[in-house]
Amino acid sequence: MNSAIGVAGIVLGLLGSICGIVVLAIGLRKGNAALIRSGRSYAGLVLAGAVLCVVAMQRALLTNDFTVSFVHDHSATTTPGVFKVATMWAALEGSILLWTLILASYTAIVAWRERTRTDDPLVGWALLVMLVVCAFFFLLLAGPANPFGTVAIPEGYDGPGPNPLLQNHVLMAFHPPVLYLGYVGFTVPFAYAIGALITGRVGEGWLAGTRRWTLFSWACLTAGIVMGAWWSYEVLGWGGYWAWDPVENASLLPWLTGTAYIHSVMVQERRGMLRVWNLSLLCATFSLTILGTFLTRSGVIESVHAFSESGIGPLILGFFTLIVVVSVGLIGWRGDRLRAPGRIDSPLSREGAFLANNVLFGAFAFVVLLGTVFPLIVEATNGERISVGVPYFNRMSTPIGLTLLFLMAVAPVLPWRKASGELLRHRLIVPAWIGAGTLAIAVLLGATGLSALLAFLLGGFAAGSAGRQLVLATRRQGWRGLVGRANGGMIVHLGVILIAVAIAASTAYGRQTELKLSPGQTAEFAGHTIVYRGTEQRLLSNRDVVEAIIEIDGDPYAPALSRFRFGSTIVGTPSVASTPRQDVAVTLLELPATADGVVSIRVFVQPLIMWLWIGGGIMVFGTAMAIVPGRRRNPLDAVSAPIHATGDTTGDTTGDTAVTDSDAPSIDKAEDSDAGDGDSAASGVPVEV
Amino acid sequence: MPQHSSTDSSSTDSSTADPATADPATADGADGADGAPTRDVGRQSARWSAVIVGVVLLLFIGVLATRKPADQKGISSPLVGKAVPALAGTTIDGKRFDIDDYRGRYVVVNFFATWCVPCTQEHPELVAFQQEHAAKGDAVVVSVAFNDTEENISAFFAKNGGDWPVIGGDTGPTILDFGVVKVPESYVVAPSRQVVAKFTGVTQAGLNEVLADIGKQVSGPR
Amino acid sequence: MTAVRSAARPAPPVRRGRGWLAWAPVLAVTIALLVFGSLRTRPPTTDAERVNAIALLIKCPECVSQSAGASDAEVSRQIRLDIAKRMSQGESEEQIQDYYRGRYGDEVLLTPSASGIGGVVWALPVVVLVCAMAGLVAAFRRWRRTADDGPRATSADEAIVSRALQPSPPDQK
Repeated sequence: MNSAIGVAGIVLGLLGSICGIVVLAIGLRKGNAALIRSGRSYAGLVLAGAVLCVVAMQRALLTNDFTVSFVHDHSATTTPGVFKVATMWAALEGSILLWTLILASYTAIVAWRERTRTDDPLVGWALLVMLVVCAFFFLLLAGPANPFGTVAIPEGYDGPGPNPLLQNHVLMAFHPPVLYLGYVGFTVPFAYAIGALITGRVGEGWLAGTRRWTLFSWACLTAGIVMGAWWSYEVLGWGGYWAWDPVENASLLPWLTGTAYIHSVMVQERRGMLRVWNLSLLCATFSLTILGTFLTRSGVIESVHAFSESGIGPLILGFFTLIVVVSVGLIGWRGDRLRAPGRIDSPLSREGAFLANNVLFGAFAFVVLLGTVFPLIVEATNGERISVGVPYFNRMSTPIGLTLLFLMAVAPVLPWRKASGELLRHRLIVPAWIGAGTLAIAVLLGATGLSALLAFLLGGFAAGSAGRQLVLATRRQGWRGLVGRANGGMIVHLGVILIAVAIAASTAYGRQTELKLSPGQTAEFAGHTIVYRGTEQRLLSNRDVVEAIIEIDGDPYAPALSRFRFGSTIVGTPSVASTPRQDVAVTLLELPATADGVVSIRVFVQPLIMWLWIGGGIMVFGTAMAIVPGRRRNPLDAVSAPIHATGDTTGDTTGDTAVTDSDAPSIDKAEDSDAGDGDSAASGVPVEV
Repeated sequence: MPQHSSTDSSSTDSSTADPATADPATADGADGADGAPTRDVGRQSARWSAVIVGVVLLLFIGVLATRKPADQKGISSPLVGKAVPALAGTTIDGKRFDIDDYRGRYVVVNFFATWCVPCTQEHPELVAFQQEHAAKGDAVVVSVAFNDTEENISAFFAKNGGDWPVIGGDTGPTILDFGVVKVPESYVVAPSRQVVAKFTGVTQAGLNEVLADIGKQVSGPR
Repeated sequence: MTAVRSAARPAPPVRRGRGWLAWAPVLAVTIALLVFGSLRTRPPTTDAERVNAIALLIKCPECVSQSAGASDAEVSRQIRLDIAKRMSQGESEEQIQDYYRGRYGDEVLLTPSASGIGGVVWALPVVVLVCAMAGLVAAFRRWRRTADDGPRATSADEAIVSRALQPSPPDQK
């Protein structure tokens, strides 16, 4: 029954997307507005298909319908309720289903939001691209990733349950959906980018229309990555939060190019430049999400988090090839004619800073991608096997990260067009003192090591700079000084700085040790007193848990080993106590053989870990503030670009804005006033829809 | 549609000097036909960059497409072809074992643990191999236990059969000397003291095949 | 109507020539702190931590993308014990790494070697970064060459601008 509903959903979605593609293609080819307009109704069919699939799957999971192959392989009657729901994305087929649902929802939302201009070829092409992606994912569901196979089950069958590591922490219920909201969200700007390339309308209108999609997807991707790190820290018990594992890198890659895009797109909105470059960044971001899907699901790369291997690899690689060929081909074919005129006057300007930002984020993404796939390349070249691991990534990303922090300090105070050294010195003196103060505090607290010290110095410098912008903006505009893109962006910067400082501190000053203790025995480590009291056993519905009762400085810790009923896998659960100053984490390595035997534990003491999660929260909050429309500019206020069609400021559902760039250098002098630059980036888009 | 007239092509590109963006209809069909003056006439940096990036990416895709899944890659060991590391110790029945005493015979060094399921599965194959060659006297088996107690090892052999030296106790250094990744693993040592093969999960037929191959290589060139 | 009062505050005067003077103390303090902080002796670490630092550079052979220092696999614990033994025998970090490379192959080292094909992974990002920088420099050169093409602001234009920059009358809306 559930299988039949699910298969019906797949068929509905697949047919809906294919029909939509055909109708839109014919409509766009013949310029038939009625056909193009009807294309959007197929997005509804696609959504209906995806919803049907997910409903069938959830129903099968919650009612233990083991005749459905996915439930048969990955669920169990004893799995707790919330994890039954989450089981859907704990294995390959279900994760594709989740991806498809989110993609279909985005497609339907785009079709609905653009309902008044669906006969616009740009929107038509964008919708067509989204339907092609939908069709591909439904094809995966219909073929190698079909979760709705039917299985004959013996009487009283119970499934194995999801991977034990995945039913060990409630974050698993949220991390994948949020991450996928981010991954899939980049499909929308990508689709518009392809539409813009095909129609040749690479102006700034479509940018404003997709601005919120991009920011929303970016925020979700950020939240998803931070949650993944948190899950890794709380569940895997190796004391770390980021292992440079291929799957983690696969999520970081689109984040890096997406971040580069979010910055460089401001140059386009403001100055009408870098059009082709921005399109390329969007294409790269979307391609990297698909490449990440390939790397994590095809089994070519070993990874802790990789899905079990399946025949899905070649299809995804084929789709990746299609995307690459189409994007690169379109950019090569049209790029030179779509390039905007204009120039960037000086490297010492907001535009110059954004270019530097792009170079650094591009280099960062290149390092991560190269390190991830390099073992494959070497193997293909000469058959040797090598590893590229944490030491490589740490060594390469440290200088890039430090330079980015420096840029983050300087860039926000730079005006557009051109800055003088004097202006910079004047605006940066207070942030520089804040950086020096941060460094002084760190040194007083005993910090050593050049790269960590530089991280504190530059972190303080950048925080001072972001804080300066926010203070100026709120002084001028009250609470509205916290919203809008430039101000929200500064809040995001503060979150990034917190994370950077937390990473530097926990990497440089984290300590760990292995201890063997008999009951009642005391040990000293890194200024903490550790006492082992004994073990306790608990029987849960799906696992047996043995906890070691440990006291550290009088506080109880209970690291545990769980034996899951199925497959006798043993999974450790660390016990973590967080304070703003430092985290103490204990993992249980080995249980005592007898009740009064020796227990083997690992103790991690790492400073400032909590600020990683807080920083992630601030980044998401800041992005939300950036999405909120900023101050509506008084039409008579001085801005660098004259606003055409001021009547539009009341809002316009089409998402079009009147952003122009008339090369008029002298007008920009207004920007150089200290008060004028706080929201100058936001002023590029006077109309927020 | 009033909105249509105000879409980006008209409102944003009016100030630019780029003919390709001004009229999407003509731009679509006329590749290379625009002779209108632009600032960057004749420069085709986007085209060349795209060509280079495209070629690199296609090579990259080629690499990805030809890779086998990680878990299907063959087993390899730097030890194969090299002299066998020292292997000596006390067996669980209290005797002394030294691999040098078996010079001139094939030695199958088997690493196992009693708690490992595949080890239990491969064990009958080793028993069959040992029985076959005990009569001929050309090959012996020795097992090295991985992190295990003597009681468990004795019980394992009592239950699953097999009668050959088993080294227990602290075998950590031996395991690292052989480069053992995960039990079960077996190394075939030729009469010349050279390690000639590594197995993860061993069969009687597979071992005999290696023995036959080596025998041929030794007698072949002569 | 908070927006209105922001219209145009005169920019605070930038004190010419005195910029660098104001920076001297902050630069001096920063450099002094950096030198002091990075040169002073680090707090002593335990033997176990030094062992772990080496184990972090060696791949756990059994696991995927985890180091022997971070993993709890049995073979990783053996490796940590072995490293401790070798360190107490006075072996250097390189000697220990060579031993493991001999037993488990190049794959066991998480840091790709700088020589041979492994060097590519270190050099290529630098090459790409240098090329990108060179591209940017070339672009700025080109932009500077074309700087004279654009429309120039006349004095009449500037008069319009300065008029526009006058504080707007309160309450436009």
